[in-house]
Amino acid sequence: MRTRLVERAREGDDVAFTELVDLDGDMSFAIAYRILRDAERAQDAVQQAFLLAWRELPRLRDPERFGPWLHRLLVNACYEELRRQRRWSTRIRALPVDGPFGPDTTVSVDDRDMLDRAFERLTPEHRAVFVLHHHAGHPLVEIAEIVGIPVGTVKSRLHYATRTLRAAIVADSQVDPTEARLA
Amino acid sequence: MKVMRDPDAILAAWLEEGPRRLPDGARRAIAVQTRTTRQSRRPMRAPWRTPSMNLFARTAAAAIVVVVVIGGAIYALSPGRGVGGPPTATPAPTLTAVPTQTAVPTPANPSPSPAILGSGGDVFPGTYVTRFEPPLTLTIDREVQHNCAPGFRCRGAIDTNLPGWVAFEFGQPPLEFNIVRLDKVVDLKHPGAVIDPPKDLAAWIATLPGISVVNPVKDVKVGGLDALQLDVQIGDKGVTLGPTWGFGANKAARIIVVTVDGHQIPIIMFGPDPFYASMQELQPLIDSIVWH
Repeated sequence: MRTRLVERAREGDDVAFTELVDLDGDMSFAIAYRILRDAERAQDAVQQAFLLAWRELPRLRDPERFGPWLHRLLVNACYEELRRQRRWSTRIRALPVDGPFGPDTTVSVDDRDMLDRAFERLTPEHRAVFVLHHHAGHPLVEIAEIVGIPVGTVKSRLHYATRTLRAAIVADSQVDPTEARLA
Repeated sequence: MKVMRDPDAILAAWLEEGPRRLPDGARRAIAVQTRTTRQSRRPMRAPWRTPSMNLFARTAAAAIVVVVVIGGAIYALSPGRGVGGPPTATPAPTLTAVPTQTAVPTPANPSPSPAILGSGGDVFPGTYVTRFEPPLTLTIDREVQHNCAPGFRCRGAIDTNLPGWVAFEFGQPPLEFNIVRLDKVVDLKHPGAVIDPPKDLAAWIATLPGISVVNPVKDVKVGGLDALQLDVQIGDKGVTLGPTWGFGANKAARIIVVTVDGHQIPIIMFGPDPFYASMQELQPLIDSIVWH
């Protein structure tokens, strides 16, 4: 069904493209949010990626590869958003429209704080590989195709990102139950 | 006593937190962009790029191309070519100024594909899709030149770009431009409460305490839709319109209320003195609005 929609959209059918947005929009937004950690900028990145996808769709030779191709555009849009974020600070911040999912009780406030800070220190390239693998579930070979780097580099980026984030919580991973009860 | 926690479980749970659904406003913005943006053409495929051509044939074809190009260049640059005429003198380069092309679109020649308006930061001339609902596009053009310093790349600032409020500023002191969706307004009879907007929002605004009407309501058009415009002066105290919007004290404002898809949308503009000249500067922005 998706392939047929891609073929129709490639021929200029904007209704088919809107259906593709319905199918892939949520996952794209979830990925962008997790790379950028900002709902507003994630929306911007998703819009940029879909706009570029619409423009360039006639150049996509294999409709079966629409998913990885879209995610490539999305990751590049996230990189651009992160570059813009460094240049400008916005004056107004909006809350996520449908609110955060959770929060999960597995993650304490301290954990969340430390993970957020550790994630902020990662480069955009490390963030993208980490999210594409652990959240979107892309295999390493597909991530290599999406990001445009060798599989070995994907492995090393993933290893580095995971180690960095683990290290952020491992220092705090031993909890005194007395403190936990009092908290 | 210490207990061990599983870092990977914490990491996985943290990664799952956060929104998962693309907001409807973004979907609508993408739909508008898709309808208003042309696709690029399918690339032409040169026959010599087909896989059936072997390496030798490709090398030979490339060599032929190189020979033809070099030969053509030599022929074109040879001074004695032509039919019997003497070689012509090459004119010496001069320092004549050549007008440069500008990438800045004008209302008469708007950008064919609207760009997506960012959440904040600078904005340059161009046609933009905003996040506002109901969806609209608008073209920013000469407004950026308001109080723009010589030699400066003139720009505006995006104050906010949200489904319920889009705002720009141009220059300093600024021209201010707001498109607002008032889903609720203050209930004058019950302070602290909010109610649905009245049917004639423009007339209701004109009666608010603290507002003096300078120019009464008149009919105008915005994006082809009927609208009502009035100019007001705000008194010493600010005036609250709704739970998220109000006027600051001692300001002159032009308010245009346009009804789109059943919503009464106020477009609210402020500007430095002379007020009418400021409003004149913002008029092209009003005229560029297209509702989708």
